[in-house]
Amino acid sequence: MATIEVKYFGLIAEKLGRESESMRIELSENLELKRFFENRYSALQGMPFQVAVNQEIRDMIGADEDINEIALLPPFAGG
Amino acid sequence: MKNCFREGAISSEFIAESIAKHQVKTNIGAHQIFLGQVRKDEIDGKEVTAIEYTAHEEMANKVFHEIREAAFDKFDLTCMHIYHSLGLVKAGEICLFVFASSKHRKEVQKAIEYLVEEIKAKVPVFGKELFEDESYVWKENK
Repeated sequence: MATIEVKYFGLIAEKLGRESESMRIELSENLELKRFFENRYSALQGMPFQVAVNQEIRDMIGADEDINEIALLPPFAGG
Repeated sequence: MKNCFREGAISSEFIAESIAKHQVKTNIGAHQIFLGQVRKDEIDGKEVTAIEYTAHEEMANKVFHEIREAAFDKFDLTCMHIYHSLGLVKAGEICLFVFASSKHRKEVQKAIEYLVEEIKAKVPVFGKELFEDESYVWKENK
């Protein structure tokens, strides 16, 4: 188990009622990040979002990765 | 890492000063500027009065940096600046200022198009479109 800082932004932070939390995550090979968080929080099901691991957009993570931060990012609106 | 964010709207004075600062760089022959302005959209019969911007600031500055580096690789640019607002920006005010300079016009024209598309697609900035009655919707880039 790894303890990872998970950050939430925009609509996701609003739906979950928090901007960050420490989460104990069992890292496994080819862990699908979106599915993992949708299972954790039903409010995320059907919502469009991307996941950033150590500030890079990723679909999956592996068992041996050194992860400082995971961020759940709703659709971008810059510009 | 350079901080590309500015609190609130980007003022016309700030933009004018940025242009003036380039007068000493006499190898430049062409500047191109993109300004993003908050539009008073009408959504379900209500008018947008402002956008409130938030961001994953650290990641966004990293992505801005990567976009800048990629643009310097792709195009023959002398210099380039990107500024994006955070917090409240009213309809009609500027929320994005992208400024590219080169010896010749064609390079900056291509660079600005590339930069703006990349910024809209890749930078984790989020926006709440606020209405007069204090309700809001979350904006999404198309």
